Amino acid sequence: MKDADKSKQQLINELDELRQRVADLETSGIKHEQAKEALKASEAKYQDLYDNAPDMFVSVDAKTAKIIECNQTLATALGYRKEEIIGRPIFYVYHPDCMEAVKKAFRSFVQTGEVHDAELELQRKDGSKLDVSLNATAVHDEQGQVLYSRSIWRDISESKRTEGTLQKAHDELERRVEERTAELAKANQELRGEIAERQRAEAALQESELQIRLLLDSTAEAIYGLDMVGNCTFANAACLQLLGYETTDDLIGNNMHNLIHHTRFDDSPYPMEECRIYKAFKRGKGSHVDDEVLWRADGTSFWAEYWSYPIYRDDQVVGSVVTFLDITDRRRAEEELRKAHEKLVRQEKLAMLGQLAGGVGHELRNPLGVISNAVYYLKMVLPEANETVKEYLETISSEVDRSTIIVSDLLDLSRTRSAERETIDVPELINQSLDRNSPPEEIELVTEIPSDLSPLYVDPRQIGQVLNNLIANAYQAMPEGGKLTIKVEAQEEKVNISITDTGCGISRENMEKLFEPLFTTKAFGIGLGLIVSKNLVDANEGSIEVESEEGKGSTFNVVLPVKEVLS
Amino acid sequence: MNEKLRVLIVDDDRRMAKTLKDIFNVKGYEAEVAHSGPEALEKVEGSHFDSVLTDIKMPEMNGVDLYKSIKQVQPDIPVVLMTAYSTDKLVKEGLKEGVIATLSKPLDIEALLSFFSALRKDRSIVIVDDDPNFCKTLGDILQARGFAVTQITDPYDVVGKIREDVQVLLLDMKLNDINGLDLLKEIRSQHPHLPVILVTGYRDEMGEAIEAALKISAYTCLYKPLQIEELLQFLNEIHHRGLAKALGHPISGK
Repeated sequence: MKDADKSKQQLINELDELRQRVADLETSGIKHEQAKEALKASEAKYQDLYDNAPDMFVSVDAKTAKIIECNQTLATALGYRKEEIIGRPIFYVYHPDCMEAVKKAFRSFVQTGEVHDAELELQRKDGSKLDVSLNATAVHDEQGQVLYSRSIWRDISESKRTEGTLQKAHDELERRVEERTAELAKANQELRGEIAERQRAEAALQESELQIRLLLDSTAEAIYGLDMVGNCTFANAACLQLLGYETTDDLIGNNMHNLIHHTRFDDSPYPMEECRIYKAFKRGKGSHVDDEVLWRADGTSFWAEYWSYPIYRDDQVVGSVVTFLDITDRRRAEEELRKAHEKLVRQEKLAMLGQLAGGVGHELRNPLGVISNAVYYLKMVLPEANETVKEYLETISSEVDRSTIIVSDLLDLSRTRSAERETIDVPELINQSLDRNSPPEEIELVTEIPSDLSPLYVDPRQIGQVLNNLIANAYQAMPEGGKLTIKVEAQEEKVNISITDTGCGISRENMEKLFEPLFTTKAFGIGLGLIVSKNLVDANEGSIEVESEEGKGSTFNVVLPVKEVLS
Repeated sequence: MNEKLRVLIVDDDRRMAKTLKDIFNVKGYEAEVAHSGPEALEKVEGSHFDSVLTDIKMPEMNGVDLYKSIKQVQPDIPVVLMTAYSTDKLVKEGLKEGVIATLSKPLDIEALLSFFSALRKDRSIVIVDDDPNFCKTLGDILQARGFAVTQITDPYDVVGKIREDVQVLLLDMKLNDINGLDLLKEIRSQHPHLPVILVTGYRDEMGEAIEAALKISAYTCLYKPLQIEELLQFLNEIHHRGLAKALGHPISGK
């Protein structure tokens, strides 16, 4: 049939058929398109699943170990673009630190075709590490040869970190336990050391206490301690000994002031409020005193020098420590020294005075002698002179006499003549002096001289002068009249001549200065009589002393040696 | 002695010498003045003086050296030293050499005058011995030496015959019937200070009595036959003492 042959119907049929075909075709095309679209969607879906899965996917060629394929998660996790990684050997993305483990895993994979939970470290593009666990399965060819891997890397850095933290925490704990243990051990060690140290210290303390006690008990200084109310807290051996107590129990707890310091040297009471120790430590001060006495247990006293110091505990005065010495001997020595010094000074003073006095005195004697002669002459040749002239001549005469006495005293003072001693009877000496100093009318003279006296052994002129001085002084002390008593008493190898007047007496104050040169209470005279007398008596190995009551009179006692009995 | 007593005053202090001279002249003595040792010595060599009163401290020659020189010329001359200084060494030396006394200035004029009047007096002595021959011979000797002598041979009439101004008494311890010691005691009661020289021919027998006598201050005891020179020496000593006493200085010559 040719096309013409074909019937219209046929054609129509054919056309319909064609049309059906086209429609079918069209339908199938649509279907294809639809299938294509569905495939495409499916592919995109799987590609998305692949690329954006939470784990990292990679395929590695088993022969070359190169990366065949990887997902975006991996690239992103390592900081690469996919193209930068694909084609690289798998080792490229592993961290060099775990390279051994990687190789091992790879070898195992090639042999067994799988890897399970291998923990490995990747290296990011910036060089940092990424902890991953690797699971891989193999894709085989028809012959069973491993072609490539299907590898999944799971980021385990978080769990790794947690694990690390945990480990760290664990380690830390361990470390701390260790540390603490070490600390405890050390503390224990230290404690043990401390205990030993303390025991040593205690022993040392005991030893030192013993030492201190020994020191305190061996020192010559007496030491005692006081609490705030002045009670004894401590006393050393010297303290007990100096105070005459048996044991410290006699002192401790007792008020020391009331016990040993209650009375002054002159027997006047010494109240505690005035006590210099007590006053000082109440103010937080110390004291140093050397002019007071302390009292012994037996009621006797001694001169003491003491030092007190406050005892501080934490800036608070809690008491006082007192150190003292018996200075009786020292005071005696000092007293002697003072006396010796005074004597020396007096002698120096006298020597100097003597030189001056000697020079002046001698030079005055010549002119006095001439005046005296001249007056004598005038009185002699002017017997008829008027009363005033006579009176004046008499005045000159008596003034010359007075001056002469002063000059004589001066010269006696300067005289260094030693005594020319001889035996002389006491009554003779006294009578000679009385002859030269006959008592004025208003003075009654009483002498009490035993008849059986041994003769004196003295320089009669010197002692005569002493008696002259004392008798003249006695008369002068009684201008209104009175009684002069000269009493002689024999003493052992000595004779005491006492000359007593009932005159004005000597004040306590003047008594001390009595034998000082140039001391006088008289309107005239320069105060040399007594010092000269003392010097003369001293030169004759005698002594001179005075007793006096102001207003009642004075007694001078001159004690002189008698002639030694020749054996 | 009727003529005036001649006194030499020696002092380098011219006023001192002059005032003394004036006083003594008025008092009836013939006083001369020298102002130095050599000048005084010249005067003593040139004429007789009854006494010399000299200062101790003078330039050229001190008073004691002057006295020593004067003694060469006129051994018995009574010399009195005066001094304003207590130069003990020279005073002592002077006394040892035999000066009568040392006076300190200002001078006690009254004492000096009584000294001079004592000088002017005759030296008088009483001899008590029951042996008239002894009395006579000794009396003659002493008279020849210028003493006024009283002889007493009657032991019962001694005290009444001793005049107040007698200077010395010579007493025999062995008188006829009377004990010399008792007699001495009797004399003492009247003349407590009269120097008495004991004389005895019986040294041994009289020992105790003599001792007792010396105790009541007999001056000394001489033994017969008397050594006249010794006696004269004692008499001079007593004379010196008397003169010193007149000066108010009873200085023992010992």
